[in-house]
Amino acid sequence: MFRPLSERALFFVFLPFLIPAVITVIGIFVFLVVESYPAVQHFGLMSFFKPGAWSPAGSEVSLVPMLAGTFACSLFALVISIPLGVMAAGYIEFFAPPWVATTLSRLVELTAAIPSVVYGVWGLVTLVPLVGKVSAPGTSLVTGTVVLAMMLLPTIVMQVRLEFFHTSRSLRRASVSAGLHPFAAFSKIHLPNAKQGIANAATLSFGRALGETIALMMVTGNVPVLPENVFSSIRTLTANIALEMGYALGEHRSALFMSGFLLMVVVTTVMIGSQVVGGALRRSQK
Amino acid sequence: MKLAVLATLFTGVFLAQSASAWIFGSSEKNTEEAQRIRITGSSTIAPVMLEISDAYMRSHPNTRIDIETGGSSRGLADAKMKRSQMGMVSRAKRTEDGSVVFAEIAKDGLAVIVHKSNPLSNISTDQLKSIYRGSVQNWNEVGAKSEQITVVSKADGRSTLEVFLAYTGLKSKEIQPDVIIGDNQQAIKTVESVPSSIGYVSIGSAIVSQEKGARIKLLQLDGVSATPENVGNGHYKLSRSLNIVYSGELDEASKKFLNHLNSSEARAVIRRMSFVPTPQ
Repeated sequence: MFRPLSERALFFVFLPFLIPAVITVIGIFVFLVVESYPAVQHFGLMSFFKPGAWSPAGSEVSLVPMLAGTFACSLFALVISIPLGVMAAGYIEFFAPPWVATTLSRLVELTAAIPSVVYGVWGLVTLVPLVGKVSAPGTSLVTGTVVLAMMLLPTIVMQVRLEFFHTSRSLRRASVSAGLHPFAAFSKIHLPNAKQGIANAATLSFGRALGETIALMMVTGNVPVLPENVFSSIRTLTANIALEMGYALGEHRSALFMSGFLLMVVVTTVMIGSQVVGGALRRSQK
Repeated sequence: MKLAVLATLFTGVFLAQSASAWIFGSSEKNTEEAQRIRITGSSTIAPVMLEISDAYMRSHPNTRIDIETGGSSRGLADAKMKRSQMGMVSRAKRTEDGSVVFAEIAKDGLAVIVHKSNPLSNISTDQLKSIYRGSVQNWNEVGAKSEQITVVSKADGRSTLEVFLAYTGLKSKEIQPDVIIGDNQQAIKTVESVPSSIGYVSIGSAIVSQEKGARIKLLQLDGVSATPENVGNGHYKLSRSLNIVYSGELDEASKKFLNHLNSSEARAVIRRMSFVPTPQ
């Protein structure tokens, strides 16, 4: 295909801006592999993945408890925040009077800007004693789930609302003129129409949930054991790094890079997986 | 995610720096007169050093002191590798530390803390051991009201944990924690939020927080109160030494600053932070 020279030149103008991003991602992977290699050599690759305890000082480096903790907390938080977020977005976009909708969406935008450490402190001083009344000490999987769900909610509402907003005006007018009950229009037309957008919001939130560190570190207790129930303490992969990295040396430090590497692999897998699923979803709609 | 963002930032800063160095020439020439001292390490010592160095920089405009935290292990490693002039290490010298020079500036005790509502006022070393080992699980077994004990401990590698282990003779794996936390502030916040808990933090941090109204109580250990005085005269045994470490020969500016740490001004700051300055 023939393109004018100026257009081809543009390609080379913009290319350098892409390179740092690509190099950074590849660089992080290489860096994590190199840094975690001494631990793999010292403990053996399998010792990271067989169930057991995490005690690098005592030569036990199972990451299974952290993997379980990270997944349990992230998934539960999504299960809570996705339905809540979709319903809230639906209310703002389709049901609320304009001034309520504006006020609410400003508030939601505001909550999205609260730093995670604030959520963490709030969780520790308010939520932990509350959960502690049901089952002491209160620093637990369920506390982490609730805090995380609250953190994910604002961006989910904003994303899904945008998706609803883009639902074509003609579709809305058609549903009104067809005499559909507003709720029927929402559940039968607008909701299915936003399926793709909701799935995107869910994936993005899942990625954020997997990477959330400080808020969870403050409310989950951080004991590296497999959770027995929702009141058990969990430690996430990120908290594992944050808690011990500043203080670790040698193989211990290297083992922490292994948890970083594992986190990168999990996040990458989730992102690629969502692309594949998203693509399939798009094809099925056509 | 966070890691990725951080790494990207670092790369960005690095690129920007090398670019500016390339364009404007090395920036070091301009700052030749100003002497930079980089001090890294223990987050227990850092607040004291920050305060002392702020005053020092005001009276010595040619000296620039950068204090960074990251834990005792980092302070030691940085000093060894000469990535910093001096390191802050909150434990005594061990044989594996080799040729690194340790200069003790102060002592700090570890206070055993419980929630303010806990009726207990004294704990024995044996009781402390049993609680952390998990053989005592209820407060009524040590003379308080019947309630499940919540054991708060620190993450592997923290120097407070190491001091606690050295004192009790327990191994890291023997401890049966209900909550694991990172730094002193988080420990205090956790004990405040969970009335049934027990934890250990730097006496300095505990007293400062208590003065600010934290709902915690410092227990006597074997009948000795956890106070800076008792740490200083050696009656309170659960304590550690706070050190400035360096390897090889120090440059003039660093030497001067190290000497300054022994001045009455600096010692007053140390005392104000509830640490015990080392006698000269």
